[in-house]
Amino acid sequence: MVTILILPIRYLGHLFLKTISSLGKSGIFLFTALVLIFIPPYKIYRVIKQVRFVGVNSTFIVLLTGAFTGMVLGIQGYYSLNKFAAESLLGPIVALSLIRELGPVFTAIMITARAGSALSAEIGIMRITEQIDALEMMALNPIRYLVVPNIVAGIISFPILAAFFDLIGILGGYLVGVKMLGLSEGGYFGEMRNMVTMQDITVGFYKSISFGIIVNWICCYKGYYTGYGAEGVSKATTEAVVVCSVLILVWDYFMASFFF
Amino acid sequence: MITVENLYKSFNHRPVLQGVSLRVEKGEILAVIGGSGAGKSVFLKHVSGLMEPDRGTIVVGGLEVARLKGKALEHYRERLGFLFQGGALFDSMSVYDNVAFPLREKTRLQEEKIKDLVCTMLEHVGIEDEDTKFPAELSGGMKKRAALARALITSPEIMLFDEPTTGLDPITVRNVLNYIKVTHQKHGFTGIIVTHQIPEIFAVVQKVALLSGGTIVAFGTPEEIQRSSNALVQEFLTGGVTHTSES
Repeated sequence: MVTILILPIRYLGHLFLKTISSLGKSGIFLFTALVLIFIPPYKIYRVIKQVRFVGVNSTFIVLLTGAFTGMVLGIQGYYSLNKFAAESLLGPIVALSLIRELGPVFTAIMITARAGSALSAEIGIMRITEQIDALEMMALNPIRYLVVPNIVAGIISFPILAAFFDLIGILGGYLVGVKMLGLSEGGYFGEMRNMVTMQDITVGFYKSISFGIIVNWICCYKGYYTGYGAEGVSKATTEAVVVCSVLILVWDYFMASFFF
Repeated sequence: MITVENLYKSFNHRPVLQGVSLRVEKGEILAVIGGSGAGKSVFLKHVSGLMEPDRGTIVVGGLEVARLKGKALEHYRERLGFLFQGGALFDSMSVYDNVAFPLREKTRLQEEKIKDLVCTMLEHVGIEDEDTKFPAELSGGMKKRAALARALITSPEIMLFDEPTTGLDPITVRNVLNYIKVTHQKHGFTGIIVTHQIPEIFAVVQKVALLSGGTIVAFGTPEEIQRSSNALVQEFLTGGVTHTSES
């Protein structure tokens, strides 16, 4: 009877300790990687390679989703604004939604799905096939070699891709609002110019940089500390994508509140 | 050179090493033999500093390995070469780049000089024609030889081999062991080889240790081990040993 009562408490205690330990470990992991960014030797070639992998290779999917997001915003925005006879505000609404929120968030989620999962799997396989041990045995720091270039690549790629997303999304909104629904071209872009400020762009920029760090941190961490065998890698990859997606939305809320 | 005293290690309360003690003199090669799951690879990872012991000490050249951190551990590992059981070649690099990698990362040699060294090394291990291939395109034996070339390219002071000949055909086994012997004579490294390759390994090493039940049950020169009256040693040498806990 006593055992039955103790078991859930023991389980909760175990879960609590495991969570705290995991948070601490991942925090130290990120801190180490961020410090190593500024300490030579710099792995420039690895950074360029990862910018290509994380950024350049994600361009098409980001542009595609950006275009359709802008078009949906165009239709839905027009529908809502039409009720208040305020269709002329479609341009600023599309632009502000994209620049402040949807651009950075959707870009981060798309990159997580495309590159983050692959990154986690790649590092996980390196772990289980002792390639990370081999790096250590060559007196090389695996975090400097594997994680730092990805985080730097994320800091470079995410804001650029988010800008592409914003741009193509605004054009998608233009296509629907101006070309299909008959708004004036001057109204669409004119109002946008009046209402979108530099601060809005800065907010989106900061968000993209922070998402670039978060996505690469989580994906590298999950791969680096993967479990045993193929099952361990598959679990790490799934966890990386889920945690990244949730964390992107949670962090977005905090940043949105901070910059409100 | 390498002194191990009372080394203990458990995984999830399952003891693997239970008081391992031995000594390897400078310039000697020690073969650690024992059944599968006896903890031989775990022992090797402790010497390399990849694992920390629960108890006991490993002293290499006056340095206690478990106490080494940061730069000190890095300097220690610069003196080591490690041949992993599965090769641990980098999937994303060709054989040539894998072998050149330690030189590119840890030395200031010009690419021309690196090319000379890598080509010579690949020739020594007999895979000079496979230099452009990626690990996924290689057979098990070729992977082992590429990994051996990578481990030896920096002429390390201490070499740790984790089953260097497992899964190879008899001719390749002889070539690999012969290459280890020749390299040892040339460079005089201190080494530990974890292996099942008996009796061939006796021609390569100066000392042999039989690891069983988490401890060293026999230690001596190959001749002493072969002459040993210990039933477990004889059982193992004649291929009749059955074994122990998983590592």
